[in-house]
Amino acid sequence: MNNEIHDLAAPYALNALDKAERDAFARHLNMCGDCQREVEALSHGAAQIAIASAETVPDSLKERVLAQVAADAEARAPRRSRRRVLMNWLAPVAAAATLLMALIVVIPNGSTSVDDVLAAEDRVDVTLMATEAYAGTSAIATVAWSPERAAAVVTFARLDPVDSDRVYELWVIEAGRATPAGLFLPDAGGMATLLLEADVPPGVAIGVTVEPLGGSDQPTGDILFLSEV
Amino acid sequence: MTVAAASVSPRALALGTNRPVGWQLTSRHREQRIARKPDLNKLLVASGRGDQKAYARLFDAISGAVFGTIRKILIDQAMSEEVTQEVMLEVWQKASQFSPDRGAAVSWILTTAHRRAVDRVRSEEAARAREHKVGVASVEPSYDATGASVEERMQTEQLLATLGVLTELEREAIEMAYFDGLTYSQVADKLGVPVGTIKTRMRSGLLRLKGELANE
Repeated sequence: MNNEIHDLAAPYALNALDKAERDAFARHLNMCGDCQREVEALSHGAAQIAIASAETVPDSLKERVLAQVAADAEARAPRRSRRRVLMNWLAPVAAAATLLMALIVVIPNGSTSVDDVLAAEDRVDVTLMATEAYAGTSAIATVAWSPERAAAVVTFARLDPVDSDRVYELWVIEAGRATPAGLFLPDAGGMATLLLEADVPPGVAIGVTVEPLGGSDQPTGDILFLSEV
Repeated sequence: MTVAAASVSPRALALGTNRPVGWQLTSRHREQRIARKPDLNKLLVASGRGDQKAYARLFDAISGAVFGTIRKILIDQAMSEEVTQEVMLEVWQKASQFSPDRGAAVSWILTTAHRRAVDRVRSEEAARAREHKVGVASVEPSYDATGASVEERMQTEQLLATLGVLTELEREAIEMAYFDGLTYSQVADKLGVPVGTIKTRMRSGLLRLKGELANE
């Protein structure tokens, strides 16, 4: 039985599994060092086909991607450097994306603001990982955390919209206890940037769930993102 | 699956006949080719720290393989550009999650690109567009006919040389999976070969491409 799952390494490296088998093998892969090494070696073989398939990329495509990257970097960068970066990329395409991504929701948390955290000298960036319940999403979440201020700002991109009677809720989780840390909805582009409405001391985890409109006192939905700071 | 996914790829047709011999890259050529390349792991790690210059260099080094792979699978130019754009943006956004300890950047990026294209070709909409384009492509003159650009011929030659190290069954199995997006059991059905054999041939073929199995 075990051998059968190991045998899926080559079809997995070729993306030649149906969804159910791919998911099953991906779960197995998390736990099996042999298969991880095997998949890495086999993927290297598959990469040779891709390398031999190379074609010239249209210049327009490169320009679009680099403009998106610049806009994305600008949205994540500390605010004080924004104006300069913005001027460099005021091409029409970039400008639209930049304006969209620069929409910042500021929620007061004592004296600390989003900008304070983003510009904090002790700022640490942590990727907020999607959990298995949200596997397959293309959403990306990052946390900028200032240990000194015990404050964190979360930035989401490509987050899925929720039903009109639902809302995303942030949680600070410490020793199994969850504290509500704010409600939010992403904008039309799936973007959201917000300051957590709870202290974020070292060693706690930050989680995200979908809750009924108005929020919950304790998580009722699946945890979609979870990472320790 | 869909009609298009079950059809024979134009590459399979082109590669199946008059397969050239003696075009295999020697390991020395391969090393030289790799030695000239920038260190993609370092560029990806730097991109993860927000270094846009490093990302631009990474883009130049890898986007050709990403785009070429996606286009050979999806055929449609506009859709291929769209998927390439998504993949390359995802590379930037997820770069900070990359760790060289867990694998090479080149595999990570190209696996992602391939998976996105396969997911797309398995969806019905892409399959329909592809069916049409493959139909058009299959009546066009073959690559070695006069009229194909030098660049096109070089691209084909490189692919032929790379796949030329494989045995016939390895090549068929890998091509159907890689370029047509078939699952290994669909490949087994189409070739009339047991699924166990297909899995074994896919494995030996990939190791051969990596240079770990000697050419037969």
